[in-house]
Amino acid sequence: MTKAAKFGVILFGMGLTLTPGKHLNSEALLCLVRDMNAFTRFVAKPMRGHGNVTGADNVVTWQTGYPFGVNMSRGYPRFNPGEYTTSDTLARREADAALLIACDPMANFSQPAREWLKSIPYIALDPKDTPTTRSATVAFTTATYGINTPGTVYRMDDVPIYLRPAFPSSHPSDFDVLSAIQRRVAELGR
Amino acid sequence: MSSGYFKIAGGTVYDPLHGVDGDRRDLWIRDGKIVDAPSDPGVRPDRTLDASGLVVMPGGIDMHCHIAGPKVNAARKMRPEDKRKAEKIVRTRSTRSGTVGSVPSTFATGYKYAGLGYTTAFDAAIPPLAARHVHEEFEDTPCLDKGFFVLMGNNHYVMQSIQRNEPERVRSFIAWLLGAAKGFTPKIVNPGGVEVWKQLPSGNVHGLDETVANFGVTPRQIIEYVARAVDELRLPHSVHLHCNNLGMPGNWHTTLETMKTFGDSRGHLSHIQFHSYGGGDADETTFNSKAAPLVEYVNSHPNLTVDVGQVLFGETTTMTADGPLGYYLSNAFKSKWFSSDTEMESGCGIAPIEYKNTSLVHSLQWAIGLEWYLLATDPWRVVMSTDHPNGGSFLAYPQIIQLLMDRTHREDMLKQVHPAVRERSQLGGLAREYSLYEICIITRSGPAKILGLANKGHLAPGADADITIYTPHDDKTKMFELPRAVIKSGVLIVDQGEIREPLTGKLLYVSPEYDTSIETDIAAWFEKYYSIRFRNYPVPLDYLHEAEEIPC
Amino acid sequence: MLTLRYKGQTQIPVEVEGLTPSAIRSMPLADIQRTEIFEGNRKVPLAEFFDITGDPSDGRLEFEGNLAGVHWIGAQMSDGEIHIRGDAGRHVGSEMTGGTIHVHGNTSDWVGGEMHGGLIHVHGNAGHLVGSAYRGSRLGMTGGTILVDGSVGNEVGLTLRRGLVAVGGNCGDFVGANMIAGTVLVFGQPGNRPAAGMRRGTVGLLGSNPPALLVTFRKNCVCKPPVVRLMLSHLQSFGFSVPDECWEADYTVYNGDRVTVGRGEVLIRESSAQNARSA
Repeated sequence: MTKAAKFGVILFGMGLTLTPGKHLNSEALLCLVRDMNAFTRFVAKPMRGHGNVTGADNVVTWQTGYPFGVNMSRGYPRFNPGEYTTSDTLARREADAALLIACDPMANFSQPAREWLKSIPYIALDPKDTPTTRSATVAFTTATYGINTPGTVYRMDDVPIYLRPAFPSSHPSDFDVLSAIQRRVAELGR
Repeated sequence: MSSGYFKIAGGTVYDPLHGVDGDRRDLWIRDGKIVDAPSDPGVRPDRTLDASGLVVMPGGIDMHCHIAGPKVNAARKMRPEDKRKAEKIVRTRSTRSGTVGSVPSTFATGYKYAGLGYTTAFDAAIPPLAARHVHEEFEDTPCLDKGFFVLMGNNHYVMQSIQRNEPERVRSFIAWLLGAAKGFTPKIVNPGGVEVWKQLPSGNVHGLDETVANFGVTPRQIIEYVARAVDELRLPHSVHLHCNNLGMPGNWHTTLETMKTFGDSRGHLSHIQFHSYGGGDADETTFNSKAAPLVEYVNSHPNLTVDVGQVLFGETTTMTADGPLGYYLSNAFKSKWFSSDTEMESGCGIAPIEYKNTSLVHSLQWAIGLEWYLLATDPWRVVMSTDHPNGGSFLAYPQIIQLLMDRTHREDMLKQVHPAVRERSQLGGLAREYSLYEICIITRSGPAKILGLANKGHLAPGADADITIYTPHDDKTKMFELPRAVIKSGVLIVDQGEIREPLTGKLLYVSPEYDTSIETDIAAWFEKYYSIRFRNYPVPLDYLHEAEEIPC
Repeated sequence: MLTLRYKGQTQIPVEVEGLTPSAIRSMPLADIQRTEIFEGNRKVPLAEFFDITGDPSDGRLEFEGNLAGVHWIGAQMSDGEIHIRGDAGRHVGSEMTGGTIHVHGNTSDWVGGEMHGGLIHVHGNAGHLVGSAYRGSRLGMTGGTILVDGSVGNEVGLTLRRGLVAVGGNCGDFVGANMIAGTVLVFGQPGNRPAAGMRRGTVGLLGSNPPALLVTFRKNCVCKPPVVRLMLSHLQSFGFSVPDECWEADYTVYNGDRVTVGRGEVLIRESSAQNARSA
């Protein structure tokens, strides 16, 4: 069937990436798609999570060279999923503080990760109230990107799309909050 | 009382545009520009850099490299192993961290280019749908003025207009598209071939007169129409072309035909080394250099310019808008592969490769690049490049300089490559050595002229104060690897290898006039075919950090 | 012999790469104590985390304590001997080219990552990715020997290029995945999808209850390959314990993985409880 297609497209998601095999499942699929290109046009794309995930991974990639799980503790980027990724760092109790932006680990992460996160001081930024913001040491309610604040998001196929706000918000944007934190940290001399 | 002047005193100055060949003279800088010395001899400069005994040149210009955008970013993602063991860029008080390898991260790209004395770089191939992405990456690529070429050689609107024999429409569309993307000139990559690849498994075109299915146009027509439009629009830089059949044995025929297709129109053929091969179909045993006849044609046709696309031995990453080429390379090298179609506009292919001096083909590729430099009679029209990172990293430019200036070193390297290079190319018999003056031309003055940048590549009053100062050294690799100082827009940004002030740099773009009534038709085309809205497509000027329009 | 007794009380990862026998062999004790290591983003002198006594000139280092939070021990070492008396963290012996490491305890992930030579013997359990490639690398381990007496996690010998990895206990999923060559032997219970993507090389599943292989493996024959006895003797010479049943057993040889080059072999020990499926 796949060989008979003129243009095959496979979209894959957590059924492949989070079941036993994980990244090796993805690899097997991509090898299949590559082989298919000898016979017909064939492409594959992973589905992305909500929020501007593709935007985040594009920016992190161009600034550091790596798409996610980037460790900066030596003053330069290091990459090793399974070691420097957040869920592992938390589950192994290797972080002593956290800054969480528009994500909800208290709802999605493993039990050991959640337990450790609860025990360390952390800051959470989110437009909405979540289990993560509720247990945060400091929680900021921020304006919703794309609805209240303008900016560029990246579609799942990496196309940059400019979003114009629909109405303003009384809350600060993520950018405002993070800039203020950065300024304050610089003032404190670290 | 600050006079605002910065003086570079007593350097050995090279400014080929004005015939200055190692004269001892002062340079005066004010407000980011090179200016005349103050008429009042009592005026003292705020700062003087003593350049006596040092070589002073305009800042380097890389007119063909791949440093930003979706394909470069995909290549970064694909190559974590390439960076793990490479040099680490550690953050400092004023500089960001990053990674190098064959596809450096953005901050690293800027610092590394500046560290070599380069002050301007142009990304060679951007699909306009991703223009915003490129502008964002450019803002994070410090120390350089930047621009990019806009992919058009497989653009559906362009091909449809050609098929309907509407050159005015092609011209208006190109003008609109350049202004919308804030790009610099049309880029044509494997005209028609990428579109055929998008339609058919292993699809491609193999000759200038093959017809592209569903569009009914030929590569030759695409080149002719776009080249003509670019000249009519009087764009500062000509159309920039990656010919069909890149990398194939025997492709020199296609290249020569393509050169003839330009007629008297201006044309720039990029990474010409990859297009200079003799030999038979897929037959490595007959692979040989045909640089000589192609160089001869370029020598006698002043409307044509080229950049070489030098290959250097070692590992690197190929990345190209030539989708079928990416597939071919990844199969030939059995390496990882990324491929992506951009709707309506283009494609891309990425594959890591390794050039080995034991390989006949790679050794010949290396030799052919050098033949181009050494056989060319007009250094103003043969620009140094590696098509970074396709032939090698821009970090290797000093090595190329040494190969061109030092015949003994070249001979030593020739002994270490595949022996058949001596029979299949002329390199062994070429004794020419480049002078500093000529190196200055092929790395700064020539590219500035070809790009049509009147304020770059020279050191006369009015020029942007982009200046590189080198300490002379017999080992030219050492000399060009570590400039004594680099000045960008009148600011000392690199001092003995250290980044002092990483400024952001400007975006250089063109915005040619066009008949705006075409926008109705373009908008209708968008609504019918594109997955983004027409009004979201153009990049507004206020999206850019700092920009300079180069007039047409 | 130089003894380094760990006294760190931190959760933050401590990273000690560069601390190899040859690097410190001629250093006076005071300099060793001042050698900088990392605790997260902080550079600290070695003496802040270790009480150091003895003399390194014989090329032998002894680490003592619970070093589960200390990483890169023995990374890139070229000669000498390291003994860890306690648990160790990640990347033990990563990219080493020679010398010997004994862990008298457990290790975490990536023990022997992209190793090139030498010997690592973990007397307890190890984590995931034993003797494996790092992300994106075209090649993994290119030489040397890794022995784990206990059990290990997933992806043992990922993209193995050359060398020997032997696991006395159980292993997780994807043992020998994407192997190019070399040998991985598992004496306990393997996990799922062994040898997926294998190109060449040998995976020996010598336990009593091997799992089903992927459908892209084809049964070749049942025999007593002479090389098995050679491998077992070789392992014994390191003090690695080999079950008696392995010596005289029959082995079913499977070839695969036929989604790729497929010239690898998986040896499965025949026993009364065997239930391996063939294509």
